[in-house]
Amino acid sequence: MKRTEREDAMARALDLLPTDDPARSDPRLLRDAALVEEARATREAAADLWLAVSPLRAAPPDLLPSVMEKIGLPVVTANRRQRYFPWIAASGWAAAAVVAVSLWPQRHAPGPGVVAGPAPTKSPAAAGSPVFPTVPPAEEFRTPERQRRDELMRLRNTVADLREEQSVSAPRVMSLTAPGLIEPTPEEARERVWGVLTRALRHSLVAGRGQASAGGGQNMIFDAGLPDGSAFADENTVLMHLNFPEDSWQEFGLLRSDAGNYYDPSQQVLWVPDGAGFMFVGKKTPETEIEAEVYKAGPEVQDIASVGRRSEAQGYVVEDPLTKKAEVFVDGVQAPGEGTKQVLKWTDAAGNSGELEVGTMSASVGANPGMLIAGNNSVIAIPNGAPAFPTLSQPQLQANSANGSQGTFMIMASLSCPSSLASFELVEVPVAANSKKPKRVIVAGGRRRAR
Amino acid sequence: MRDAARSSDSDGRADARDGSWLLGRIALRDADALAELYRMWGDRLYSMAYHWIRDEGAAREVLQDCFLRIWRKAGDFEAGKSRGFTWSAMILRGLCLDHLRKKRRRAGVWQDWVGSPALEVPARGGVEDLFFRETVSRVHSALEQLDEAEAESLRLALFDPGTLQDHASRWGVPLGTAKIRVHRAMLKLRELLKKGDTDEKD
Repeated sequence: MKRTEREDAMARALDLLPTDDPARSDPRLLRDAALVEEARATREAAADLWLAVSPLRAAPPDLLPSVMEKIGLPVVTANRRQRYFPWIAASGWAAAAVVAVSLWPQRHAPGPGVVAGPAPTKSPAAAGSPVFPTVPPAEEFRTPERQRRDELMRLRNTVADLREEQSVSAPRVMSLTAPGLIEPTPEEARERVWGVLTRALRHSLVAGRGQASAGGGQNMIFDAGLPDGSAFADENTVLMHLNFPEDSWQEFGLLRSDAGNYYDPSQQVLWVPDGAGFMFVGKKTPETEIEAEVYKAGPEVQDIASVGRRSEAQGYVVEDPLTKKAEVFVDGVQAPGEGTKQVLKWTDAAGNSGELEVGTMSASVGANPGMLIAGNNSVIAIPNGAPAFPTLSQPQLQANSANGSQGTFMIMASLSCPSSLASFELVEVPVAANSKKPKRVIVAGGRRRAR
Repeated sequence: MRDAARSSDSDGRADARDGSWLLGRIALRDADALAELYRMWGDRLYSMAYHWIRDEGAAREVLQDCFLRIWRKAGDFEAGKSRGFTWSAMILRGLCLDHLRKKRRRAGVWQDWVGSPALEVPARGGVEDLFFRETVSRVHSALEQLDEAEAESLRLALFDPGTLQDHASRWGVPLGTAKIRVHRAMLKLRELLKKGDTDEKD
């Protein structure tokens, strides 16, 4: 292949060739594999470049209906709820979750503590893709996959609805760590925060789904263990598992494929992970319908990299200065010891303080009027396996069970904070006021002071 | 039974943002898939068209034609040969070029296009593009490593509606030299983007 041919392939790919250039009709450019690759790589680079240098704008809202009308398809109403933005600013806990991930320190990050957004223009490249992924359909479960995509769309709509206007707020992310914990690397921190938030999202998504399908009775949600045959009646029942036992699949007598699917021969259920990593979807599948050689028991299968499990408590506070709200997530929290309770405590930049007891859904305020706790301030913790899940219709009240670690909790809270937070901690204190038992700090964090 | 849940997403990222599977559904005349694709990429493609042609009405028209063409041509899309977004963006590029070249033909005198967009990644202002965050970051990093002449070559190749012959005339060099110049700049960009991608995976 001559260099000039590669140049022609590049120029042709971008429609840059003069009209009388013989390369325009050179069949080699379409047949030679190397030249085809040259054109492909050129187009991809050009598309990426064009994309990246174009500031985001919202397309005219009536354009989709217009397209549908021209095609002769049912017109899609330009309804705000049917629209979502692939770009958001921080608002509400779900949006805050995304922003937390996007702003979380990565390579060359300035360090722990508070990360102020928006990210600088010379921000490091983001590793991984902690977005709400659009799930590719699994052939086996096209219908439920589609339903879950709809759920993801709903979440996006919800997030967009939380603040449709394009905020230029600068969310701040504060890391909460256990005393003495070795500081995680930026990559570990990113993985962890994404793990925590993914689990939170997963519960909310499925909660919405469970409510929506309650009348149909064809969808079942599991949080732990594996269902037995009595749990579902027929092949139309869709099972969704929030904490599929990937770590103990052998103990459950499952078979696993190299692709990460599981088959339960005793119940004849095929479990397939959704593409977004939110859950596993199960469906009654007779053994005759699976390729037996693909599914193996025991150690002969390849190991799948497991999502980082964590044992110590860790959390994050994401503040949105525009709404003056802070979303708090703390994962891996042990249940309170006997005679103790857990309390979230914070101080703001003005020196005011406040606290909120976990699990009581009632707030108490320190003796200062500056740190007002609005009526929607709430915090709650629900242990693993609890039957009730929050929904996104109550974004201020979020609590979920932990990532499958029995006896731990995920605590989520939403606070109103007129002044920016200076420090935050989750502590365990005696219930009795006169107890001599000392306060135990579970996690704590604070803004770094300028030196 | 096909074991497709993971194998269809072997690189772990392509499908999440690529939309190839939606194009497959559109090829089967699934109107919901077209609407979904629009919701996913409509704003982004509109932004690209507007950034280039700087005319809201024209950008709207071009985007509409783009989605009409996607509807008609989705059957031609081959996921193994291109990313879905690239395929769609190149349709949009062709339509933008048609628009600008028609405009140039209609103009009595065509001067160097003063409205040609700059080649710089805009500040995000707190707004995050969830689907393309990595791409923007990689391009940003790559652009910082191009010299001025390389960036200008790419800017012209990407955004000037003229052909390489026009660029050659502007630069006062033979057509072959113009081809070499743009190709070298494009090669460097590709290498930098690839390197950025590798760095992120590491």
